[in-house]
Order: sequence, then structure tokens, then C-alpha cells
Amino acid sequence: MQYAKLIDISKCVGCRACEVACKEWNETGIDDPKEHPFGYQSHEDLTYRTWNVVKFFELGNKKSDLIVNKTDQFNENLETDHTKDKLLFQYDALLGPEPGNLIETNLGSESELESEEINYSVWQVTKFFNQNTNITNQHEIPKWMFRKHGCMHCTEAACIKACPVDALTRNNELGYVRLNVSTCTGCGYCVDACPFDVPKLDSGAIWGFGKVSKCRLCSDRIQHNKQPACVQSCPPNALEFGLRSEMVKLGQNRIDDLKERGYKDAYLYGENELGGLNVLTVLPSKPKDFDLPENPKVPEYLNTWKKVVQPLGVLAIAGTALMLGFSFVNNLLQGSKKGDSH
Amino acid sequence: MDEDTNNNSLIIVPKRVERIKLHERISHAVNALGFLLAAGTGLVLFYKGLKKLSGGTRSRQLHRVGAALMISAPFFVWGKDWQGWKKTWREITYFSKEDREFLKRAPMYMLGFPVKMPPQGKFNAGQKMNFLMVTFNSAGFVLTGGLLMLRRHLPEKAFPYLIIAHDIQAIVGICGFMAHAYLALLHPDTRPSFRAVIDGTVPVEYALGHHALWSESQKHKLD
Repeated sequence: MQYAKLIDISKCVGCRACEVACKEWNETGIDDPKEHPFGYQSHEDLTYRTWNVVKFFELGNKKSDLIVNKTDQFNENLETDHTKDKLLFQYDALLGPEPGNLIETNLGSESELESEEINYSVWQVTKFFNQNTNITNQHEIPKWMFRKHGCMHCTEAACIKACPVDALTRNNELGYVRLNVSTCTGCGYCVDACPFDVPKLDSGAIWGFGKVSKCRLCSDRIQHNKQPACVQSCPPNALEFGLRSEMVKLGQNRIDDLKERGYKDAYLYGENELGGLNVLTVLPSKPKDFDLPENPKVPEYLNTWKKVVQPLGVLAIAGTALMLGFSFVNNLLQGSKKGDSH
Repeated sequence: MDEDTNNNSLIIVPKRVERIKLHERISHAVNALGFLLAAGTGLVLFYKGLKKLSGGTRSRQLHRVGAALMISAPFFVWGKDWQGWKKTWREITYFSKEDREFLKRAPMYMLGFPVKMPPQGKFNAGQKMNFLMVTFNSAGFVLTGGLLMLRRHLPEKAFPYLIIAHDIQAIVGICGFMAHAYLALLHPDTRPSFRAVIDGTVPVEYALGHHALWSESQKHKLD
């Protein structure tokens, strides 16, 4: 009776309540803001203290770089910080998640729109794009989408195979990958193995003082019949939690619905990947658009390393011990022979 | 000292002869301690049967201490006597006809069969091989271990090669160490040499038997 979380990207508004709820429930603390420069996302990626991050994506065109990378230019074009914050917020709200909002906006002249705050902001954003990029066609304006990124709780989890001390194990009954922090050595082999780049090491790990961390699917909550904190907090119900079979069904229904609405590449990610993930994601388009591997796999080197090199190593050490043991006994026998001959 | 009074003359024959100098012994001890620490804690990450000994991050911290000791070991020799090290290195890397013959007979000798070994210099061919293995393996450990520590700054593809290379080096090092320790502690022929790593001396009979060419070259010191 495995459970699963269903993330419906087509419903997510990018509010990041799930991030906050996760931090509050798990008491993971905050990251140093200096390490996370300004951008739409709260964090560029997951961190030791941040087990889920709402990633921002665009469907159609890859123009998000303009927002993140042209920050300085963006700042120069805006009069005050207040205007900048307001504009960014409104731009975010106006463009996602429904595709094509801006395309249908009838942009007038600056003077006509000045009285209408929202439309004026849209005009400013559009003007910014037109001035600073080569965007001329309104259809190329990006459409924002958000994906909650965190542990996928794979059935065939690469992290479990990589862990040398079984600090990572799978609870097959409930369907999640648990992390035993006290056993973890902080070697980081799981970090290298995970195809989703999920486990993160504490900063002291390089000197042997840090451990790894990742989402535990709020195992303490689900064992007491409560939903994970992120699911509990999601305002538009973009996150659902329940029996995996039911979540798959729910996800498939959403895919059918999206396909009917014109999202031809809509796909339920995690139904079959890596033996089935316990975090399913309703994707309006291809996985690569959302920074997900098309065909995630347990890295091949794990087999070479764990099933060939390590057993051969144990065999070599045991063989050496055996040979030396033989030599020791043989020496004793040879010595007693010498003694007899004298 | 024994006093030989034959032929009415007094000849003082030492029972033991110095073979390893103090700074070399310190270097050897630091390297051995470092290797034991690094190998012991490394095996915890290598063989799942030892997982209960990991002690969380403690094993990785000790692994680094072991590595630091191993890295520091050669500096005791290089710092004290650089010229002596160069001479030793020349000696170690030269394999004479006797050395090659020694290596041919070494497997049977290692297995405990009575084999007459050819006369050897200060270092026999087996010791030379061990010295070279330790030197190159240690250099490999520093390279792969250091890069593993810095792997977050390297391409993802580097990790499998580094970890597998580090493991293979560890296997070679551990097997070599086992044979080395066996010869020093348990093998009846070579066991008398063990005190050399403590007080630097070996019995004269041992030196004459196992390092005949070197003993010959040391005779002038007794004249």
C-alpha cells in the first residue's frame, strides 16, 4: 500500500508555500542569503537546508535568462527599488501559469495605460524586453511554469545503491527513501549517483564534518496519517498525496485533460521511471523543459564499482590473507622438518 | 659485544648493526600509522560488512588524518637528509642481475618453501618493489583522494574514474601492506629484522644472511 505525492505543474502558481512549510515542519533553518543571489527562485537549487525548491521555467522560449542574467541592466531601466519589486511581482502574476496571457493583452500607449496600474506594468515589461532584446514578436514572450523540485523517492533509487553504509534505505511499505542521519558518513556518493541531483551535502563535508540531507516525504507525518507539510500548505491544490495507485489515476486524468486543452506533450512523469517514482509530476510538456531527465537511470558505473571492483577487492584481500596463512603454516612445517633432520 | 679471543687477539664483534637511521624510522612509523588509519577507515566505505564501524562522520575525519600523516611522512626524510634520499632512490630504482633472480625466486620463498636467495644489497629486490609500490601508490592516493575531495568543482564524469582508481590503489596498498607486515612480524626468516623499525638495528647474522653485499660494503666500518 504505497503512497505517493502528485505534483501538478499546470496548477502550481509558484507561491512557494511548500518551501516554507517544509522548512517550518522539518526545522531546517535558513540558508545564507549572500549565497543565493537575486532571482525569481528563492534558491538556485536545493541545499542542505532546503529540501524543496520551486523552480521557474518558461514554455516555448528560453527567455528566463534575460530576467536572471540581465539583472543589472534591468535595474538600470527602473527608477526605484519599489518599482522593480512591484514590477517583478506583477510580471510573475500576469504571465503564469495560463499560457498566452500577455499575447492577448492589448497594449496601448504609455499615457493611455498610466492610470491602470497592472496594464502599465505589462507595458513596462514589454518595453523592457523590446528595448533590451531582439524580441519583436509578441508570441515569443515567455510563459511561466513552476516545478516543485525535491526527492523523487525512486523505487530503484541510485542513492541507495551508492550508499556504502546503508544510511539510505527504502520503506517499501509506505514508499519513500529514508535517510538515517546518524549512520550517514557524509561521503557524498549518493550526491554523485542521483539522476535528479537531489541529495545535498553540508558545507563541512569536504573535511569530513558534514552529512547529506534530502526530503524524507515527511515520514513522521504520513506514519500518523497526516499529509506531508508541503501538500498540506499548497493553496491551489497543485500537490496531492494519497495511495500511489490513486495518484497515478488522478495524474492520468490530468494528462488527458491537458491534452484536450492542446498540451500535446503532456506527460505523467514518474509512473514508470526508475521502477516507479513515489513523487509523480504532471508535466504540460516534455520533461527536459522542466530540467528533468527524459530517461533517468541508475548510473552504469555503480554496477562496475559495486559489483565488480569491490567484490574483486575483497577477494584480493582475502586471497592475500589465505596465501600468507599458507606460507605461515608451511614455514612451521618446513621448520619442523629441519628440526627432525638435525 | 662479544669478545673473540682466538689467536690471542681481541676482536670486538657487534651483535647488531645499524640499518635504518632515526629520521627514516620516524618517517616509516608516521607512514605506517597514517596508512593504517586511512586503510581502516576507507574499508568502512568499501566493504558493507564493516558499515557498523563507520561511526558516522568520524571514519571520514580519521581518513583525512591518515592521509595527512601519509603525506607528511616523506618530509621527515627529505627535510633531514635530501642527499641520502637521492642515494637511496638511485639504489631502489636499480635492479641488478641478482635482484632479478631474487624476484624470480620470491614467490616460492613467500609461500614458505626453502629457497636459496641470491646475495642482496642494503635493500633486497622485494623491499625495492615494496618501496616503489608504496611511493607510486601514495602519489596516486594523493592525486585521486585530493581530486575526490574537490570533485564538486570537476566534471561529473570524473567521479567514477576517481573513485574506482582510489579503490584499486587501496586494494593494492592493503595487499602489499599485509605481505610487508607478515614478513616483518611472522615470517621466521625475516622476523629478526623487525627491530630495525624501532631501534634501527638488525642482528649481524641477519645482515650477513639477507644483505650479504651490503654487509660486505659495511666491513670497512669495523676495520
